Amino acid sequence: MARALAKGDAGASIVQAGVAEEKAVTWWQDVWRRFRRQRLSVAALGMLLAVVLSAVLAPVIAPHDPAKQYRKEGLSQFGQPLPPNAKFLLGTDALGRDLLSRLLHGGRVSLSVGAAASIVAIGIALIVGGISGFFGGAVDFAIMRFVDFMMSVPTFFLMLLLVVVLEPGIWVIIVVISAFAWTYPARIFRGEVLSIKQRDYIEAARAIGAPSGRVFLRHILPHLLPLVVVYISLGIPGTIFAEVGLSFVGLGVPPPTPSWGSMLQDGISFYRAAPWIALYPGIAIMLTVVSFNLVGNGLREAMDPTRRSR
Amino acid sequence: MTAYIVRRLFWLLVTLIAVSIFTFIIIFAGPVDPVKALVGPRAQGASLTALRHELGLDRPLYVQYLDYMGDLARGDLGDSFFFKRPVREALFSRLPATAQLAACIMALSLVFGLPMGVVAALKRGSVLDSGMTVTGLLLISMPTFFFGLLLIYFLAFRLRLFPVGGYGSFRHLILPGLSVALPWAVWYGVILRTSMLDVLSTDYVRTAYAKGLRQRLVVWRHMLKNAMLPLVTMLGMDFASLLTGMAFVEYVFNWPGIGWQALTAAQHFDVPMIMGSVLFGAALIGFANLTVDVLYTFLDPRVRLT
Repeated sequence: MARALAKGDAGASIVQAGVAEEKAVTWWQDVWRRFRRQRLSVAALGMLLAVVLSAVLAPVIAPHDPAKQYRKEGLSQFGQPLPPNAKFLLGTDALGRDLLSRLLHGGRVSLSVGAAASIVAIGIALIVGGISGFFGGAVDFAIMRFVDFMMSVPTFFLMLLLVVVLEPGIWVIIVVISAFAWTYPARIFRGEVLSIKQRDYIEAARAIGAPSGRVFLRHILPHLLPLVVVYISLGIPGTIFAEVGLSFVGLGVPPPTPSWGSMLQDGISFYRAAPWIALYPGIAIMLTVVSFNLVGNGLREAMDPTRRSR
Repeated sequence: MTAYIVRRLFWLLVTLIAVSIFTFIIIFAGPVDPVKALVGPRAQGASLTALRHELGLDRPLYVQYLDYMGDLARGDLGDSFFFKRPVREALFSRLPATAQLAACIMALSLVFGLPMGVVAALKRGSVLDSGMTVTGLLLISMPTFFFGLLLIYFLAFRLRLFPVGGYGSFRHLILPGLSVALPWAVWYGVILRTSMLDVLSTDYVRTAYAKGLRQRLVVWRHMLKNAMLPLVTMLGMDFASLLTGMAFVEYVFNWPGIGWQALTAAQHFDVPMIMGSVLFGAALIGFANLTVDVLYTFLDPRVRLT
């Protein structure tokens, strides 16, 4: 008994010493510490930074003008696209344009449309889901029926209709993609708000007379932030696929601007003679999307350590 | 049950009306000139004014809407000006191809997905288990049509095992089927693995093992039946979304289904055809979801439809 007590005391003092010495860490530092432990996600983050950087710096590092057609030196004597060579590091496409430069520039469109559409979609989801969960009752019922409705319509056909009827352009694509990407996260946010609303400190805040707006902004919204970051990251693969798909069939960002999707389109008619044309954008998409998935999962683990994963 | 089905059909009707209002707003009251939207971008000048009158687009908006809804109620979806035939006829003639491909995709993804999920759960942490995770990550990280292109390049062009595209024989079905089914199979495998692991620790499985049943029997007769339930829910939703969501695959493989048709229509500014596809697709999804929910009660007697 005495020994057990002594042991307990020693334990307590060690814990106290630990507390005293540990520097205060912010929430983000804590998240970063847990994120860093997941090697795969860190590697994915590195790859992602490289992809983003190469897209941002495309005008500086691209060796050629992505739209310039090198009719003479960019095509073989029979007018066929060139395989990788010293002048055109990744080869050329059917019009004699430099594939490396197009790949770098195409990343700008695909990445920015993907990221913007995901951010807009999560923004809508946050507002809709937040209102639905926070107010409950008839508002919640109406909003949720609307979400059910949005989830039971043929999304892709409606996207086609909107893209065809509206003027083509980068903003239209972003709006159209995000208009159909917010429903699932909205349900998640609603559920989260519903559960947070039950907690004691919310009741306490209300008891001391905090107005609804303040309760929502100061006491509920900060708890949704981790989910916002995670779902933006996990949503980008879907929005990139949507942009790539629309550009692939010629309904995306209009032609002179290269996108990974339109490069795939350029490659499909030459897949026998020049399979590399379609291969590069395909690999670029895959690397980017794998990275976003891994980073998103890593963030989810890091931000919610109580969540068990198998 | 009957009351439930009637109520669901009512909701389906509400959904269809809402979709039709939405498409009406986009086309007739939206920011774009509906005459151009309906007859294509090439029409111009005096012919536009004449057409506007002929199509009745110079009437008040509510008259146009009632007219439009009246046609819809009679099942008249207008004429496709690219395919040169009534939209309704075009939609029904393409439905078999899409249904065939969707069924093939479901079948293939189960054929691959079930064994993968079972083995991964029983041999947790093995090379096979982690291999499945990695393959799955790569497969879901490329657009299905790019995976389809890879299949075409290697299996159809290089090895000449399958035709590169088109519609007809059973062999035509395999590549477009695989290009969607393989990523899905891995996804189903992952879900099944999780629910198998849940079932693994239940009392009835322990009892089954304790009374000396062989593993194969326990897995197939006791575990899988229960572990399948979350998967069946997903299968239903996925089948519904497949019917309208395979456009890119149909496009890449020249598979003449409703997705291919809608995409081709979109490329040629054929608004009536896309509009018809939207409404038709909404009805398809509605009926598919309802059918699945009803079927589900037979699979899991604990579920009651109210």
